Formats: sequence, structure tokens, C-alpha cells
Amino acid sequence: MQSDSLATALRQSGFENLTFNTPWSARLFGMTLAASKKQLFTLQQFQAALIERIQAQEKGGCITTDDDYYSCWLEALQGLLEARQLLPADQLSAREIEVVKAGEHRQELQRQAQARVRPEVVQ
Amino acid sequence: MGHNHEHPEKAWQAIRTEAIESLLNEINVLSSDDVDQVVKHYEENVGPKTGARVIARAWVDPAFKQRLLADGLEACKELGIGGPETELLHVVENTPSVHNVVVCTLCSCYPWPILGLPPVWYKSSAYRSRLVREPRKVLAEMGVTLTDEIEVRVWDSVSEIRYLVMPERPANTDHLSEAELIELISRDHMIGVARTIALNNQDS
Repeated sequence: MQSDSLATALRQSGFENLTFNTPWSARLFGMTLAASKKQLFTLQQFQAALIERIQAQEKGGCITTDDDYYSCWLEALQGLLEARQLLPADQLSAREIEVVKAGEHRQELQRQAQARVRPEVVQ
Repeated sequence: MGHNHEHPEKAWQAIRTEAIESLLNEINVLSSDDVDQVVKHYEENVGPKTGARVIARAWVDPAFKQRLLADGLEACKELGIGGPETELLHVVENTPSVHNVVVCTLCSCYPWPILGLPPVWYKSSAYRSRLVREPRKVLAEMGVTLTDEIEVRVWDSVSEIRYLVMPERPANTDHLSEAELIELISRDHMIGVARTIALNNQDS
């Protein structure tokens, strides 16, 4: 997509003044900087991985949203961690399934608890 | 999944990010506290106001301005600004005949510690590819119309260098304090997608 009016198209996203649009992009950004501080990799190495990922992405389409952009960021981080043997691929997919299940479990508990919404103590 | 209509599925990015964080926690290479600290710092402390402080100081202190133009990072340190993620910082000055604008064509390099995180459009394919090809057109779309006499300089942050645009100090601001000047400077001025600085009080 090449907008005739870049500013209006992109500024209409409504997220202009938020630091992070989604909780996961905040965690991802935080993890990347924290990992570089712990010298798991340098920010230059991360930047190179991100550039590579963005180039691959833009062969097939454009980056127009924050989600597009941070998806590239996520895959770049994942690739770096895998290359450093910090993230075995089979463990990651297993953990993803656990994350989904844990989320569903929390939602289930919340639903069950709906009938018991009341203060713990009233004085 | 019978409850899908009630509970929209979590984005795959959210699931993977959480899974990676939990695995890194588990092998003790990264704690959630480490991550919390970075996020909190960026959400609460870092933002374009930091860059505005640098520019306003340069406007009121010519010696500081010279140091800033000579070595951005060293000059920022004088104001207590910087950090491990700061790259080399090169400050480019707008003049009546020159307008500077910054892009990162390959990814989204940006002076985080000075301006906070970049806006969505800065990261978009459209801005990154078009600004170098047709800067005047893109700038006009973003509200900056430049006469032919004004030269446009597009700075690409692909290397280790980050750029910060120093807008011109508006006329009739001699009476303003440094703190008041800071309020006039926006993130867009320092990226170069805004040029005119509006005074808050129109005292003609």
C-alpha cells in the first residue's frame, strides 16, 4: 500500500501518543533491551537481524501497522535466541501451547468467579 | 473451541512473546524484573521531551550548541541524557535555506534515549521507502511545504549514527525562558516532518 497521503493514513491509526500499542510489543521491546544489557547479543546484532527480517517481509508486502513491525521484531529476536541455543524450537512450540491453555484456564476461573464478585472485607 | 465467540483468540505474537519470556525466565538468563524495568523506563521517563530539552538548551546557550553540533552524545551527557543503548548522535541544524529530515530506510533506527520510541508511521514501509525518493512530496503530505529555495537533506540512520534535527528558534521568543521554549518543540520537529514552530501565545 502506498498511501497518497501518508500522514493522514498513518496518523489515523490513533496510537500516536502511546509508547506501546500492545502489551506484547512492550514485553518484546523490554526483553530485547534487557537481553542486550545481559550481553546475550549486542544491539547491533539485533539491528542486523531486524533489517534482514524486514527485508524478507517487504518482499511480499508492506509494513503499515505497529503489529506488522513488531512481528518482524519478534521473529528477529526469536532467530537470535535460537542461534545462541537459548531457545530450542520444540520447547518453544510446547510452551506456546501451555501459554494458550493457561490463558483459557484463567478465563474459565474468571467466569466461574463472576457469581462471587464481592469485597473480601467491609468495615 | 466452543467459547471462541466470547473470548477472542490471543494474537500469535502475544503467545510467542509470553512463551519466550517464560523460557528465558526458566533458564535464568532473563528475569521478568529486568524486562519490567526497561518497559517502565520507556513508558514513564523517556519521550520527546528529552530531545526538546537538548534543543532548547542549544537555543539559549551558543557554546552548548557548538558542542552539540560537534558531538551530540557528549553534549547530551552534560544534561544527564544517554545510556547504554545510545548510538552516535549527530545533530543537524535547520536554517532558513536548509530543511533536514530523518528516516531509517532499512529498519527503524531512532534515537530512543532522546526521543522515546518512534511513531508508527516512522516504521512504515511507505515512509521509509518514499522519503528518500520523493522527500518534498512526502513532506508536503505531512504538512511541510517547502519552497524550491529551501534545500532538503534526508538523513538515513542506517549506520551506527542516529540523527536529531535542530529546528530554528522562532522569532520573537527572546522573552521566553528555557522551560517555555521546551514546550514549543515537538517530536515531529526533531524528526523533521514539521518545520514551523507555533507560539502558544500569539502576541503580535
